[in-house]
Amino acid sequence: MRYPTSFSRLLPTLGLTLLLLPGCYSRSDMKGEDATTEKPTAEMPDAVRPTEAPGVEAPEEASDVVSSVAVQPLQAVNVFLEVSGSMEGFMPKTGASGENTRFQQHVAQLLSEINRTPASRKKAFFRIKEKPYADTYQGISGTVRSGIQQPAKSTDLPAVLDTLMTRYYQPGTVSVLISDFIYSPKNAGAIPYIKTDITDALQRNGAQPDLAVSVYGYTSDFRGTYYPALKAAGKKTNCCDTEIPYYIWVLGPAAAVRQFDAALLEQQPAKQAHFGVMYPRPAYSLLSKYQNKGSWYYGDAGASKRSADAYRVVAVSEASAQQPVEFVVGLNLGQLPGQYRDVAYLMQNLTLQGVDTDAKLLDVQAASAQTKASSGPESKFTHFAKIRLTKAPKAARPLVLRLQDQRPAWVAQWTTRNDGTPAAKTFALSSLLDGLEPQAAGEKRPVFELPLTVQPAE
Amino acid sequence: MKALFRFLYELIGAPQPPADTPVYRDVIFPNLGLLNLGISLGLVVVFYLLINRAMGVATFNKGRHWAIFLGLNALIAFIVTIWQTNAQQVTDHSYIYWLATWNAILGMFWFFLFSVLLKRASTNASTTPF
Amino acid sequence: MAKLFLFGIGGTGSRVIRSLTMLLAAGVELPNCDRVVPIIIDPDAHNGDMNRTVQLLQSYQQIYKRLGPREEGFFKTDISTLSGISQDVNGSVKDTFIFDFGGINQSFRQYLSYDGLSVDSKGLVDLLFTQDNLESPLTIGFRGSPNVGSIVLNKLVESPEMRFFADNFQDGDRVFFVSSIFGGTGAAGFPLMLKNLKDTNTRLSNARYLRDAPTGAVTVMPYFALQSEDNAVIDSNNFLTKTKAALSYYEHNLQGLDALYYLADTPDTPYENQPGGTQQKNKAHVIELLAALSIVDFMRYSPAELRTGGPHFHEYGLQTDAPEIQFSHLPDESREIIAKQLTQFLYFTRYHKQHLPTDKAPYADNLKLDYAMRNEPIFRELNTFLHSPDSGVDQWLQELAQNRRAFRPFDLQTEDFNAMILGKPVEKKWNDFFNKGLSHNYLLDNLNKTEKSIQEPDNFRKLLELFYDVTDKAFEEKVKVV
Repeated sequence: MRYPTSFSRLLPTLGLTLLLLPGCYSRSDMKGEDATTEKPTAEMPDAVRPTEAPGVEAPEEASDVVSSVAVQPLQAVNVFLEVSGSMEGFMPKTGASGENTRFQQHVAQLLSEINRTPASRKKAFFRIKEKPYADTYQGISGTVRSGIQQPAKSTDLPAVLDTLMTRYYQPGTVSVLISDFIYSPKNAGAIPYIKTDITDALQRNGAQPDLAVSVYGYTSDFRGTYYPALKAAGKKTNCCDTEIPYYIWVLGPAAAVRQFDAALLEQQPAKQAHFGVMYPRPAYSLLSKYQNKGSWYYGDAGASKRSADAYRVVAVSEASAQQPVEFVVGLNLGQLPGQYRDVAYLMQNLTLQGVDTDAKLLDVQAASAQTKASSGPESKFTHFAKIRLTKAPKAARPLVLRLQDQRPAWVAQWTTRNDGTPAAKTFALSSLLDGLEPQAAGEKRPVFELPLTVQPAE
Repeated sequence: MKALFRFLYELIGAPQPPADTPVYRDVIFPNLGLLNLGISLGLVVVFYLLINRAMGVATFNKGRHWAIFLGLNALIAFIVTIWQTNAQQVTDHSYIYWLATWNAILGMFWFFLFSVLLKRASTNASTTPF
Repeated sequence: MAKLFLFGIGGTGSRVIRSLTMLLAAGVELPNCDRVVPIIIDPDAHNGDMNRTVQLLQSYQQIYKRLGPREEGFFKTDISTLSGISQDVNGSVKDTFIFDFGGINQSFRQYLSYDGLSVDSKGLVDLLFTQDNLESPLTIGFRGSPNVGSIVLNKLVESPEMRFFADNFQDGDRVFFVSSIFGGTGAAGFPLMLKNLKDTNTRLSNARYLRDAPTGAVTVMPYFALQSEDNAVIDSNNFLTKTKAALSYYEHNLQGLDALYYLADTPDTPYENQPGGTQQKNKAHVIELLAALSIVDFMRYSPAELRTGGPHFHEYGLQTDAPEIQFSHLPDESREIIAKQLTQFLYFTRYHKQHLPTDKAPYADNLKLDYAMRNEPIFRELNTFLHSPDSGVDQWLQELAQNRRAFRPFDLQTEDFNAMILGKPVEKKWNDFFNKGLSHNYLLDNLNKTEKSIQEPDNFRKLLELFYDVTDKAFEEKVKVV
C-alpha cells in the first residue's frame, strides 16, 4: 500500500492553486491598496496633474466633513444698528394694532439669532449715531421693537466704515452693519466720488488684503419720514406706499465673513453680493455614466479605485463632429452662497477655458430629484456642467471650469440716481458697492476654478 | 502584470462602453487574467497530477479526455468573465460576450501551455495530448 | 561461463526442450549455468515436434541476443546453438540446434550395405532386425525400433559435431539427456551417447572434463497411447514391453550418470498414430513440462551434491491426482519454481495480445510501440514467440490445457486478468471503488509509472523489463500466493 500516499505529494500544488484564486482585485480592496501604493505623480507628467492647474491657487477643496468639524467659532461678532432719523420708518413705535414692519420682524429675529449663535464666542451690540455706542442685546433689540428713542442726525457712511475698520477689524471678527445705506454726500459735487470715499474709508489704515464684505439686501414696509439722499428732493413724511430697501453688511477678514455668512445669513431670502470673500473650491468630479456620450473614460491613474469621486482626466478615444464626446462634471456647490448656486447665474458665468481644444460648455443643470435619488456618484453633486468636444486632443491639455464673480443683476435694479420718490431702490447703490471692489484693479478673482485635463486615450 | 493583462485583453479592441475602460483595465482584466491562469493551472493539475497520477486512473488519458478538460476550461473562463463583469457592475454591452469568448480562448491557451509544462509530471497522461 | 549441454533425443527430446524454452522465457531460474546448448538428435529431419521446437529456439535466441544477460527477467538464460559457443575453424558444424545426420535418405538395408555383407553377417542381421526394419527409410527416424537406432546412433561419436562439442567442453559444464524410453531414437540413443561420452578410451578431446562433468538424464516412460491401426509401424501396445527391456538394460549400463529422473503416467486418450514426419506434432503434455522441470531441478544441485552418493534417482508425484492440474495440485517445490513465473509470463502474453497494440498511454508512446511493433523485426519476433499459432506460448498453454492429463492452471478464454489463475481469482474488495484488482487500469497505471523509472535506452529491452517488473508487482500485490 505504498502507492496511494503519493497524493500527499500533490497537496502543495493544490494549496498554491487555492491561494492564487482569491488573490483577485475588487474595486473595494483596490481602494485601500491605492492609498498606500499608487502614486499618481509617478504616472503622469506634471502638466497633466489635475490638482495643480496653472494659475489657480484655490484653497483646499471643501467637503461636508471639513466645514463642520474643523471650523473654530468666530472670536467676536459686533452688530451695529444705525439709528439715524432715516431708519425711524423701519422701526416705528408699536402701534395700537400691534403691527410691525418686516424690518422689525426680521432684524429682531436676526439679533436674537446672533445673540444665541454658537458660531461666535463673543457678541457685542452697538447703536450708530455719529459714532458707535455700545449697547446690549436687550437694549438694541428693544430699540428695534419699540422704535428709536433719540434718532441721530444723518450718519456719514465713510466715517462709520472708517470707524469699523480702525476699531473693530480683527482676525476672526466680523462687523455686522444694519442700515439703509442712504449715503448723502455733503454736496452734490461729491456724488461721483462715492466709490472713492468708500474705498478710502475701508483702506485708510493701510491695506487690508483679506477684507471681505458681504452685502445682503432686503426690503421692508416703511412707516415714517423718508429722507432721500438728495436733500433737495425734500423729506417725505408718512411714507410710504412702496417698500424701502435696507441692507446688512458683513465686514471682516474673508474667512470670518464666509463663516458668518454660512452660519447665519445663508438661509435668509435676500439679495446678496459678495466682495473679497474666498470660497473653498467645491468638490467636483467627472461623471462617466451620467449623460455621457462618445468614446471617453476616466484617464486618472487608478481611475477605477478612487475613493472619492474625484475624477479630473478625460481620456478621449475618438471624437468627431459626427460622434462628439460629451461629458458631465458634477459640482457640489453646497458651500457657496446662494447667489452662486443659482442656475441662471451659473449659465451666465460658468466658463470653460481650454488650450488647443474645441471643448464647449453646453449646459448647466441643478440636481434633480432623480439625480439625488440615484445610486451613482451623481447623487453627491448639486450641479452638473455638460461639456462637449469634437476633436480628440493630441496630448494632455488643461481645461478649466471657471465661475466668474459677476455683480448680481439686482444691484443695478436697486440703484437709482434720484431717490426723491420713495421706491425700492437706493441712491447710488452701485457706486457704493463699487467702493467695495478689491483695491487691486484688473480682473476680478473668480469664485472658483476647477482644473480638468483632456488627453488622448492610452 | 497589469500591463500584460491589459495588452492581452485589448487585443480584441478597447473595452466598451468607453466609460468603463478604467474598471476593465484596473480591475477586470487583472482579475480575469489571474483567475484564468489559476483555473487553467488548477484544471491542468487536476487532469495531470490528480486524476492521472495521484488517483492512479490510467484510462482517462486520451486526447479526447484532455479535450474535455480543455472545453471545461473554456466554459469556466467564459462564465468567470460574465461573473466578473457583473460583480464589477459594468454597463451591459455585447463587448462582455466578446471578452468572455476571448477569455475562453486565452484560457484554452493557458491550459495548453500548462499542459505542455506539467504533463511530464504525470504518470498516465505524460504523453497527452501529444 | 558454465554451460549446459542438453541432448534432446527423439520426438520427446524436442518436446521437452520446447517446454524448457517456455520456462526459460518465463524467467525460470536455471542455476549454475549461463548458457543452455540444446542439441536435438533426431534423424527424422521433418519431424513436426522438432521443427516447431527449433523455430521456438531460434525465436528465443533472437530475443535473447537483443536482451543480453540480466539479473532477472523474461528470457533470462542464454540459449545457443552448438556452433554459437565458439568459432568453428572448419566450418563443418552448422549453426543449428539439430544434429546433422548428413541426409541419410537411405533405407536401413542400404545404410548397413546389407547386400555387400557376408552370408554370416547377413544371417546375424536377419536375426536382429526384421524385414520391416531393414526396408524402412531412415529419414523418418527409427520408428520405435531401438535396435535400428542403436546402430545408426553409434556412429555419431565420429561426427564433426561431437568433436566440436568435446573441443569446447570446459570444466564446470554439464550434460543432460532427454529421451523417452519407449521410442526408437531416444531409447537407443541415450545409453549410446552416454557410453561414448564417458568412454575412458575415447578419442575425443577434453576427455577428463567430459568424464567428470555432472551428468543427468530424464527418461520419459510411457504416458500416452497411440490409436491402434492394423498396419501401423508403431504399436503402443509394445510400449511397456520395450520399457521393461530398456530399464533392465539401464540397470547395469548407465555408467557416469549422476542423476536420473524417471517420469511416467497412465495413458488416457490415445494419440493419432503418426510414426514420424511433419505429421508427428503432438500436443504439449504436462509430462514434458515436468521433464523440463527435472532439468531445472538438476541444475539446482551443486556439483558436490551430485557427486556424493550418486547416482541420484528421482521420480515425480503430484500433490493430488487430478485430471486437470492446477497450481494447487502441484507439490510445493514445483509450484515455487514455476507458478509465479508462468503467471507473470501469462499476464505478459495476454496483455501483449489484448492491450498492447491498442494502448494509447505514455509508456507505449515513450517506447514508440506503435511504430516498433509494426516495423522492428525484434518486436515481430517476440510476437511470433508469444502468439505464433504453431509454436507460440498461447498455443503451448492451450495444448497443455487440452491434453490428457491436462495442465490447466489458467483460464485461457477469459480476458479478465483477475480470473486468469484457475482456482485462485484475485480478490476484489467490493466496497473499494478504486480497487478493481488486476484491471486494465491497474496494469496501465503501473506500466506508466514503472516506465518512468527504468533507465534503458533500448526500447525492446525496456519493454521486457517493464513487463517483468509490472507483472511481478501485480503478482506480489494482487495474487500474493497460488
